[in-house]
Amino acid sequence: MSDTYIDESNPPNRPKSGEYGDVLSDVLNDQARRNELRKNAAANPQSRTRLHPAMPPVLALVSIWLWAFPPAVLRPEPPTIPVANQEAGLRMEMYIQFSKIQGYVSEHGRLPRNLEEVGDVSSAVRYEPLTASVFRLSGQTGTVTVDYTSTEPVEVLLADARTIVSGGGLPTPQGGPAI
Amino acid sequence: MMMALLKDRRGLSLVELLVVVLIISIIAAIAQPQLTHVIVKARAADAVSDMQAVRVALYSYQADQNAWPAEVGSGQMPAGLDAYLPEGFNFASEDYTLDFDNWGGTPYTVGVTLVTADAILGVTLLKMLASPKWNAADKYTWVVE
Repeated sequence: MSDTYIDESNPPNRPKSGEYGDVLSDVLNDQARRNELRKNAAANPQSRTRLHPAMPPVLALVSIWLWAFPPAVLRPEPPTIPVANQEAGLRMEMYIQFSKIQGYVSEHGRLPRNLEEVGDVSSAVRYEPLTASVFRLSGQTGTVTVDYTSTEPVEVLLADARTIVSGGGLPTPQGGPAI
Repeated sequence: MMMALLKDRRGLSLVELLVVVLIISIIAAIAQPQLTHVIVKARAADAVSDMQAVRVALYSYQADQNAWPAEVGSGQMPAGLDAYLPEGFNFASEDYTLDFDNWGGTPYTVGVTLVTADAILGVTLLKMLASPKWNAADKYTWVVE
């Protein structure tokens, strides 16, 4: 729009006085400088930074590798329960089933045929009546297996499970949940 | 003048665009496991909050009735406890079910068990709970009393 009226390559001399003259002179100088840069860029098309031809395939390979086989350092450690705590938890679960069976025996005078008769079934615990008054509990979770026969003292089943579930082993938030 | 301007306009070439997309893909691949971890922690925190709500409701129930609610099956609301829980509270959700346990006193009296097939969610949750707590198979139990 201004090309018709303003000779950009030859800015007028700054007027002798007045702020307007200074501003106009600066604008025209800047315009001339931009035109010069544009001409240079057009004359030399190689001045633009070019990508290395190997870059896209390398990036594609890195991307595929990261998505298909993410290195261990990028994956957060899956939370695990220490084996001692797994065993303590299993023993607690078996002890609860044991207590329910004892309660059933007191009420019905006989052993239950299966764990469904005493309430919720735990997938970790298997029950097997051996005689009219003796039964076996087998528990398994992860790599831990515990067997208990009702002729043994119940302390054998519980062992130190209560101590462990009460605070040993798994990290507990400071002070526990605020209730 | 307009033609000159159009000639001088520069954008991204297809190759440059591809490089940008690949770099974004690499950043996403690096961030994705951390994001998954954060999502699991948020779900576990949600489950802890549900268990805490049940715990508070149980204490309120016990204070009013001088007894603990009777044992019910997994995913079921103990009779009378709904009055002490937030409106619409459900013992069965998409990710897990809650199970109120009334053991009757030995070695503990009552507790809340979260049953879920998602082991990562369960173990993350267990680490957030205060003791006594334990895990057996898909059950994550928190002792209330």
